[in-house]
Amino acid sequence: MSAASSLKEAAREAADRFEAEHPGTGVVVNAAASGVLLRQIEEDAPVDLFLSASRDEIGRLERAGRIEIGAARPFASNRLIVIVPAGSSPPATLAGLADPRFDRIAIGNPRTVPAGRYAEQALRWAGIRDAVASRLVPGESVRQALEYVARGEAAAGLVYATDARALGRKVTLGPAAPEGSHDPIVYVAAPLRDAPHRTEAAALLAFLLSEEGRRILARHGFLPPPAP
Amino acid sequence: MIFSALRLSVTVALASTALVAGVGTLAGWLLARSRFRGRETLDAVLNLPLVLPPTVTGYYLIALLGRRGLLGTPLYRFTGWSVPFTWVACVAAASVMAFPLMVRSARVAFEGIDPRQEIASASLGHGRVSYLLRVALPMARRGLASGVVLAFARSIGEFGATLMLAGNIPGRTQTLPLAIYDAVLAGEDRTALALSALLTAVSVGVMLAAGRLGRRRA
Repeated sequence: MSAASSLKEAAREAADRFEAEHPGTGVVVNAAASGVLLRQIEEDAPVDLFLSASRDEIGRLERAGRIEIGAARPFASNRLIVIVPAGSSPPATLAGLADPRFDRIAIGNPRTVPAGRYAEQALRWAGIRDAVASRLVPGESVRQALEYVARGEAAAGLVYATDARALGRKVTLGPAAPEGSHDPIVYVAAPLRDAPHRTEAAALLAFLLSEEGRRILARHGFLPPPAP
Repeated sequence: MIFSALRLSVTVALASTALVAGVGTLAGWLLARSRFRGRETLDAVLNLPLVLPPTVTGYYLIALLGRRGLLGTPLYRFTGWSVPFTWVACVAAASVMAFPLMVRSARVAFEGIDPRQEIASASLGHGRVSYLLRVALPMARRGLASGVVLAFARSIGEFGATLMLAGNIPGRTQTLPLAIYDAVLAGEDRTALALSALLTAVSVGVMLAAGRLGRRRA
């Protein structure tokens, strides 16, 4: 199972539960930025199930014929939130990031990290994208952006609300990006057409969408997917 | 993007090579000539970047130079400036990775000089510094030159420690190797190929120039 970085812990927990219910089945969780996982799949990495933090990556695989049209299922959602290192004070609003005291703003690398694309959209919506352009520090995954802030290297960051929980004590939460300031954050799961373990992939996807799967995701702070 | 990555790579490689050539020659000289306690330990420590994974070296550099690092904390407090995510971070990472290559070359070159040269030089009234500048350095020049070439090659190819300490910011800390990595991950194979070809051309050019320089001086 290749899972977006932000899903790392939730995916592992879901995999553990699935393994317990299916003795003899082992699930390997490969966590990285969705764009990086996309590349690995394009290069024929042996992946059964792909959990992406954006529809874009899934769409590309659908167009390449690697995912059957209609096989992908949205299963969770998330919010984007401003964070600052623990002990420093966050801006009141998203636009407050324009304040020069935020000399470095960590986001995911928009080229490969969906969270970075959402962050750019939100900054543009707030009207400060160009003002802060030279202060943006791209991380290889949303988790690296989080790490930059937790370590105090960046004065602020834009990450998922679920990530901020993962390192709760090292960062202080600021305002969330308002709804509509960026594309809806939709996590999509899809089995690969040429998956080495097709039956297990379908079962794992079903588990993820089950009541128990949803409970695990909710426990890690993920929101239910938007109604179709 | 290609041009800024090339310019940054060459600048960083030149700066770190200059730094490493100076300090590394001195360190090689000390290791070759002086007998002091802990010499072998120091030698082993200086060589660590050769054997450690670059990520480990990069992590140590963060612990040392980061905003909350050992040296980084006072630096940031007094100047409001910090090393990570700047081109200085690229130079620091490249220098630390290239340093052992220069020291090894210098040490071997100095150790290869017949000790009687120093006695002869002393009999002509030269002190240690004068001996180093007028006799030892010219005699060791081939070894030193090969050290400089190796250091440059290592610097321009540095990836792991640079990514950890300097990040991957296009136009600011994105050197050629990082730009290649970025292009591959983003699925831009044509850019990756062009950048790789460029880096290969620069490297071959440096090797040819170094070879020519070596022959002319020999």
